[in-house]
Amino acid sequence: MDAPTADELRVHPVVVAAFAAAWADSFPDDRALRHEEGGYIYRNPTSGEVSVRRALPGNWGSLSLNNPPLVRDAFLVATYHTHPHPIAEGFDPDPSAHDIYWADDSGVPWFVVSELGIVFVGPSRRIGGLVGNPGYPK
Amino acid sequence: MSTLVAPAARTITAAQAVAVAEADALGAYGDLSLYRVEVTPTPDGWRVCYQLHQPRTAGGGPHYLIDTTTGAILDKKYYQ
Repeated sequence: MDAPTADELRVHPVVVAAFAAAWADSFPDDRALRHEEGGYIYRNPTSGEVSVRRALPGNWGSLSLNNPPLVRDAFLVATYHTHPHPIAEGFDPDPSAHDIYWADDSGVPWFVVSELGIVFVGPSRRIGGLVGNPGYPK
Repeated sequence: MSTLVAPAARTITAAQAVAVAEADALGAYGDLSLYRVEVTPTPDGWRVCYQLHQPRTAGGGPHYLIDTTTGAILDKKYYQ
């Protein structure tokens, strides 16, 4: 089974729900509580099941995605995180240079959820398919 | 006949440029402890960038262009 593409993942119900939950938990409307949230997306190559795991909450302007938990019989196929700070306060909602660099380095798509919607950076699907290291392929 | 015009003196030091940037950045980001500050002289001014240095970490920091003669913020970007 091939790794799912970013376009396939972004409309998967489990992923859509994960994006919405992360966005809500980022408190985009509360400057005092606002922070980045996100996590990891997996696919089981036998059943095709897609699942997610949340990362620990981030802080004001960053979120560590360095330690994807292992999910039994599944491969990491993408990450996601929020950009909750608003354009109205001068923040850039687009993926940062840091996001782009580490997405390319990681070998899986990185989704960014912001007030403008959802975009991804990095490869369009997991590099190398659903084989090898079940975490990041690179 | 031509007139030579001396280039504007660089009166703002790198440390002063960082101080200007930091005052703004603290207001926007609060905690800057996760960032490494990079200061670069450019023809347009001091470029002051707050960069994350943790591997595989999503995010970004503030970037500034500071006028070398007045210390004014000429441009800024708040990345996240």
